[in-house]
Amino acid sequence: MHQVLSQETEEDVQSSLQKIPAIYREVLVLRFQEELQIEEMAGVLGVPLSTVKSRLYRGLEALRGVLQGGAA
Amino acid sequence: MNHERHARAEQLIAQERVEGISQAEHSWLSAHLQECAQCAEEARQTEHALRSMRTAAFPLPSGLASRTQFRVHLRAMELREREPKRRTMWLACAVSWGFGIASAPYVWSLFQWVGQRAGLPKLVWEVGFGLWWTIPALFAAAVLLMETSRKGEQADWIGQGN
Repeated sequence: MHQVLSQETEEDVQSSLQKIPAIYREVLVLRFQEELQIEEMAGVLGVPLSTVKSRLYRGLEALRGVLQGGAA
Repeated sequence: MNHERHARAEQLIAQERVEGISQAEHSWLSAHLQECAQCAEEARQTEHALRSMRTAAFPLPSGLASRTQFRVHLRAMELREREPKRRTMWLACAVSWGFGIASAPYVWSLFQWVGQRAGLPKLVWEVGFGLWWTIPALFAAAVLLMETSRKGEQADWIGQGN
């Protein structure tokens, strides 16, 4: 039962992430899945730290939005 | 419970995960989450979404890997371009050291002459002569150490980036 629920959650998250714009999706994946530091992300993406941070905040907001069934 | 407290809590929930929050902010947030079911639910949902994301093994967006490779390639080119400059620096050091060794007896005589003219004790102009050689050498050593240390950090960063 728990495994089935976990699988559903995983599918939900994957489908939710697909709805988020690519620039936010990539920072979410780099930060929370690949566990990169913000400075490393700025280096990898070639953007300023402030841009990485603002994309992360917006990405989180979008993730919460899509998980709650709203628009990204 | 006013709207500003909810907004602050919402901001701190995100900030905690993006760049971290201070101990005072953490304490405030914990206290608020204990008394506000709505914000506690939001924190729980955020944490749950991120935890699921960590375990979902979601593939990196297409294009990111090639962009990363491109940036590493640019960095390698930049480091390669520095190589001729480094060689020039070593050549300049060698010429400087050669000239310094060749001119040492003359510099010694000069310090001796100035010391005697100024009536300085022998120890003073001898120390002056020693500093004449050691200060530039120490400065050069510090520059080289800083350069080596920076190079090491860059190599580590590139290693982590891959």
